[in-house]
Amino acid sequence: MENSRKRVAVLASVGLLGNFENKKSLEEIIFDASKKVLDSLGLTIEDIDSLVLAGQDEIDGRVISIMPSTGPAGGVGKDTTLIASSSDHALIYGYLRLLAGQGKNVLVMGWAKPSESVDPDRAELMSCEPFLLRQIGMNNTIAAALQASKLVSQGLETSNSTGKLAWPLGDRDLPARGDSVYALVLAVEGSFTPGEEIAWIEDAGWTTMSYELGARDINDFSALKIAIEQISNRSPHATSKNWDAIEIAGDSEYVVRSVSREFELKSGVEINKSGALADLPTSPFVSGLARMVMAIDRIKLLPKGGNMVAGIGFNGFAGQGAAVVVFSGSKGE
Amino acid sequence: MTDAKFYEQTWDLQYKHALGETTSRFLEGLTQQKIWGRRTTDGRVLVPARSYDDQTHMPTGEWVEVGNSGTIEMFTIVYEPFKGLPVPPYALVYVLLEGADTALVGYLKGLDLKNQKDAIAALGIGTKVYVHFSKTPVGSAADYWFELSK
Repeated sequence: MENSRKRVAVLASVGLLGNFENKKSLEEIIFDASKKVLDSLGLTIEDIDSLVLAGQDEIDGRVISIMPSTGPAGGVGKDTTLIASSSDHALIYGYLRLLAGQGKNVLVMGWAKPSESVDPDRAELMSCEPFLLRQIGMNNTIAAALQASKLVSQGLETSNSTGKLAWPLGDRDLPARGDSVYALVLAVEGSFTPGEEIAWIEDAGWTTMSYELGARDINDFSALKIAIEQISNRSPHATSKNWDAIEIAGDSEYVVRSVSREFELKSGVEINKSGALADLPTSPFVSGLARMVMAIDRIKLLPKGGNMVAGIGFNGFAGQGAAVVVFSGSKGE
Repeated sequence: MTDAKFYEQTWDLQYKHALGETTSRFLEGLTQQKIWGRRTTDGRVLVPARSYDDQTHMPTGEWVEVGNSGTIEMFTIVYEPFKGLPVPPYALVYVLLEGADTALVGYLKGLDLKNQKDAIAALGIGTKVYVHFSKTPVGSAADYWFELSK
């Protein structure tokens, strides 16, 4: 990263999550999270330059969900964008906006409320192309099982709950489902009081591979490798060898366990210290952003200084796309 | 040469939307023949009631019962059939009820819409209407509609 470029910091983050939020509407939990993160900084929406939101229409049952969600998020009268691909992309897009000089700060939000959907798996089926795969049937669970089967064939041990959902996956291998909304405020250095930040963004990388499961090696982590390579090329100091901790939103625990095998990591690196996938209810659309918020939380827990923590998210079936954001506790040079 | 093929598919997704306390009370009010709004921090009354104000990005507070009469803010008469919507022709209006600062959507019934010219003349913006409630309310938007004031 060029030294002359202004750095971007995370000033605050909040996560509201519960297994099933039945007492509030989706719009109300979006409003609550937006207010909470702004209140934590003593800001109002008037202090925010732009919003980058991420919602998944087919899970929440709100087509073109930016229409009903802009208001509760705080976007009325503001530069507001909604990202449909993945919530972690909203964080990256917000980061890029600030690097590009588009404002001094941005409110980033991502959410999914699977409790609104009578059958979230059925909604995931609609992610399939309509020509063949939708008729055969596919969802995140089945795709994760296919991926895990290849990892097992390469020597990864099966888990204790093997085979109870879709071989080799058991219920402890998959991310727990739950309603969640996350909100963060990012800001450019110079626009806030030094020390107010809770983490700095060192760099971000992301990519997408072939949609077709049969056209790619779904256990080679190509998308993740490319995303990390992007970071290493631009910011060698932020390469995976220097990460002190990783929070990864794997499609299954098999993916989490494979990371240390696939990548050159620092000895003793902490992986998913915030909790197992099955213990932190979220939704596949939000899980990447959730882990990035957890990565920021890890920064807060590590000794003040240059500790580096990566948040990793995937999108699409079996890691079609991957996004990595590297956070650090110090601004560096 | 192979003929191009088509698949007809239906998205049969089902949802169970959590309405939240505020919307639930608004709908409950309809069964009691009451229209409820919520006051914003700058004094406006939002109808239908919302728990937050998207203009100020602040929570709303006091519940306010608004009047059952008002004026048409905008209207259309629909002649095109749309799947899932009423058999045309029907009139859709937004009405600013007495005591409210935002207009409430609803059907306008009791007017012969077959003669478009006469119907448009009867539905001018600013025309006074009143709320008519269903005798068999179910706690939904079907519980009320508007009719022209006598």
